[in-house]
Amino acid sequence: MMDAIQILFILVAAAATATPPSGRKVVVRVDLTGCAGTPASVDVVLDGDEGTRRPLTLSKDPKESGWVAEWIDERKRKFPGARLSASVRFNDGRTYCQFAQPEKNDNDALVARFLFYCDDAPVLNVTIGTIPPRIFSYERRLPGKARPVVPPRCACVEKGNAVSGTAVVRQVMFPQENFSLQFLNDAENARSSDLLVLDPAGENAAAEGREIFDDLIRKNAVVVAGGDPRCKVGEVCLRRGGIIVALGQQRARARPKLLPQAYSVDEENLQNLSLLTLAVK
Amino acid sequence: MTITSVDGEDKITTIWKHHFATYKEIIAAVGGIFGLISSLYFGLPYVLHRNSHIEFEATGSDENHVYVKVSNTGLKPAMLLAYRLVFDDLPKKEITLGLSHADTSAENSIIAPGATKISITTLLPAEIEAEALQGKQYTDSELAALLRKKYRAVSITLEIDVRESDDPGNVWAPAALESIDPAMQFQYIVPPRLCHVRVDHISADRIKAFINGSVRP
Repeated sequence: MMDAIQILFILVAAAATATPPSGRKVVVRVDLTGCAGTPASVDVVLDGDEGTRRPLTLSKDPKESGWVAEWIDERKRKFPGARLSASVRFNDGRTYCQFAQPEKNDNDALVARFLFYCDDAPVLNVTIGTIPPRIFSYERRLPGKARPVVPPRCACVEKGNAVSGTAVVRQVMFPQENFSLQFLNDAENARSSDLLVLDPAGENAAAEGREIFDDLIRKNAVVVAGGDPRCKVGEVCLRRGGIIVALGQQRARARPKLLPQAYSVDEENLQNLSLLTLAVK
Repeated sequence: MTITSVDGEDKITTIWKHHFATYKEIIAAVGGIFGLISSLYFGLPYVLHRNSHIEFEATGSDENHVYVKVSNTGLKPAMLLAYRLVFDDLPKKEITLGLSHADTSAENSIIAPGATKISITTLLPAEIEAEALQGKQYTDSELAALLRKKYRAVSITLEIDVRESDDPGNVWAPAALESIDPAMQFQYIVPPRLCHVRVDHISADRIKAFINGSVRP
């Protein structure tokens, strides 16, 4: 019996060593231009996949400036045959998305080079809270047409989860970025439809307070003065019923033909949520 | 003993003179033969190897390079022009390769008489300038299919275009026919040789680091 197990282990080990690697090693190099100072730390998200988020290190090689990391391209089509997009993440924000330029370094290794331009576009920090605390996810999307530096078909999607029931989403570009929430129902392994938070038609980048929120959020929000004691000054708050109505109205606005069951699914997913609080700084 | 000739000349002297003349001719002949042999010995190799002649062998690889040992057995330098990897199972396509950054900087595409080592690497899509070549590149799905077998069983040909010192060749035929073929249509049938194509047949196993690092999709 022991012999058989040993042979099995040997065969597995042999198969593992004989199997060629499926990925291609790519050096990711990010150059930040026009930024005030050098960030303390920089992460990169590749190909819109938050799971690929990895730290970059500042290159000490004078020939290769910028922030670098190694990445294994395990996609079906590999870079440079397939395009590779990236978004850089700082401690307090992120960049738009950019496609890589293929290059080779002095050792002929394949390099995906990203060039980002820092600018002074107005940004917001959005604080989201749930009472009682419950899990939700958010999605940010910066459409390609939003800014001249963003290439077409490179919608910069960032997805995040707030397990503790609160989240601060930093440096949201207003009004260019689409920012939405989804409420997760772990028990049912389901999620609500998207609640669009910021007004996509907003024009005033310097707007403050309620003006930046989607009009259906504002319309269904609790009136602050005496509306709900849990809703603090400066916050926009929605009760469960208000969220469900806002979700339905937003869906109807986007797609006039709706499946009636969508309402009941949202009602199901929003059980146990009493109040949603939104604030911007 | 003295033999006296009729005209009073010393006969011995005559005989010696006769022999001496014969020996002189023999010595001259032997010298000539030695001269000819030595000329052939020293000159023939020069005549035979006066032009460059490139041979090469892929000796190994890393994830970015194929290492190649190149020998020039001729007496004049040659120039390496182009490099490609061809899978024998699908020979009408290729992976166009290029000289490594270090070898390009050192101008190592010029091969002087003797032996040297170079390393070659893949090119970026933008570096493959000719449209015809772009269309000849293996697709990812073709490469995946070609590399499904064990590397030991995958036959590859590494090809290098070499401008030997006698290139371009075969130019005399089109030139000779120019008077009867003013439109130079003959060139389409027998084009002049612009370079030599040197090849090394190997199994993918020998350069597996390169195959895994730079070729395998």
